[in-house]
Amino acid sequence: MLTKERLFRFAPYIVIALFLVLWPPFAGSALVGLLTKIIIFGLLAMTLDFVNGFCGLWSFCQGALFGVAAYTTGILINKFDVSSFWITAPTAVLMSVLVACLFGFVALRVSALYFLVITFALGQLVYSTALKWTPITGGSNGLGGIPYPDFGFPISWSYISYYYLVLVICVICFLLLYRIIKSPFGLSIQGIRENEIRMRLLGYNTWMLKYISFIIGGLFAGVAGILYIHYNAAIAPTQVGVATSGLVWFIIIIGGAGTLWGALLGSAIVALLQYYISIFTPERWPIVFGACFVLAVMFLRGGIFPRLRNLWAKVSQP
Amino acid sequence: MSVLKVENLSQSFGGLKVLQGVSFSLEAGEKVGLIGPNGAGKTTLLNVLCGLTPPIAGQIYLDGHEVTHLSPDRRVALGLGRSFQINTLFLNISLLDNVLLAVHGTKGTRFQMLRSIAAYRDIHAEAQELLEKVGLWEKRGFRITDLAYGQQRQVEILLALASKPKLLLLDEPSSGLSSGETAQLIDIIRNLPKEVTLFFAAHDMDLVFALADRVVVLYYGQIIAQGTPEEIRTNPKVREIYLGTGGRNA
Repeated sequence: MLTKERLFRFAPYIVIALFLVLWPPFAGSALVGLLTKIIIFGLLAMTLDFVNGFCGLWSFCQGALFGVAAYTTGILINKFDVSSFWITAPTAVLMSVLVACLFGFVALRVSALYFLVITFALGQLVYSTALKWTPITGGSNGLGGIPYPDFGFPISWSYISYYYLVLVICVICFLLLYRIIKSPFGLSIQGIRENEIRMRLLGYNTWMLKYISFIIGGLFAGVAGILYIHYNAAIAPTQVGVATSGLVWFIIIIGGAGTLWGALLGSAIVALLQYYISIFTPERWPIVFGACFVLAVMFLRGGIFPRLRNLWAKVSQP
Repeated sequence: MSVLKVENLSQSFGGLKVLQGVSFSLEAGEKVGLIGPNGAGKTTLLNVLCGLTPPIAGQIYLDGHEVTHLSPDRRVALGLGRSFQINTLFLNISLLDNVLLAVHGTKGTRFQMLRSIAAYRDIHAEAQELLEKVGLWEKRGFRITDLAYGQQRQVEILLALASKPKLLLLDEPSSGLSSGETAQLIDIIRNLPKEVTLFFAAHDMDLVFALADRVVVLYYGQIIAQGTPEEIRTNPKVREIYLGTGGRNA
């Protein structure tokens, strides 16, 4: 039922949705580009939120899984002249899923911080492969000149039409992840986050649940990787290493883990901070950014999104 | 046929032999208390029975199946339920979600990903029935951390009951409860179906004598006596090492 109260309660979401749909044609290419990047990294951060915020796995390789798909797309297009999106995208996602299957199998022998260390090391394997396998990956220069996706029918690509493609795909991914979280599977991975031993004694094969969650995280990280390489037109090893895996951690810590929305909000905050601080101090923005991060950890425990949601719940209460 | 048969079970942590050749069996519908002084190995025995720690020797048969090396979840599927001495709950999700997880644990749809959990009416109905039984249905939206300790303790037992186990293992079910709350707990356990086999570790003698048909006494990892509560009460060996000679039952 769509009552007036409910409409009011969901008003912020509706305003944001309208903004995301209606605003880009009137904005410049820089801002639309920034927004595209926010959404892509929002999706990548959502995969970490799914894996860590919901399932409680301390993954530090989301950037690598993202990179596997991005590199697969780039290699297919640049080295093998396969341009059709219908071939490159499924192959890239499949590669991310396979790598996630492998990484998960190795890393799930341990838990908590050990899991973080192992996934970090495995992620570095992807980074080193990208860096050293020069004939295929282009070494430290990476791969460049990646065009917009080729759907097999003519589309007048521009930064705006690509933005809408990213928006649609990310909305679909968000809805899928949201659906999974509200399902029996989704509740059981939250049970694992809260208390794994009890879950085992309620009849759940917790290893399998964690493994599947990690692979789902890898799948959507792969989607983000594909969207990113077509957006950025290039990919380099530094973009698939610690920097990206760490960036998504910043995003969910600032935005709020365990909410999905927090990942999107965090991504927007991080990208806007980077963008505007670097206008003022092009060289020293990491210092200011780091300070903001420290302040967020000290004073915004649990992230910004849960606070905003509680605030709005109070305001919108009849 | 016995619901649980244990043969020669041994467990040790480093040089410490926590269980030494423990053998016993439980018949269907029996209510058996496990007593023993601190450090006797009661919790270790329950952990080995439910599969959390594999034994170093011996066999466990659950309902005729050998389960010695099966994982806890497989044993739960065979009809085992377990509660813990220290509350082991899902603290940051709602009470209803806690019970839903417990009810769903042995159902085939627990891996279902694309259907909302709210759509499983039968599972909701079971969860509601369980929560109404202990009078906590009104608090279903509360997080566990917002419940009183006694209520958390009830939820602890409730989660073990949710899968409708044939064999229920309870570790110190009345731990930390007031006498009124213990009486309520005894009522809940007495109202379980007759065919449920109960094996519970306890320090509280009133609870043991109120619930148990039979008592097993564990002392330094060995079963030193078993029998009816009356026999155990008068067993000189038990009185000496457990109740103490000239104790309150003398």
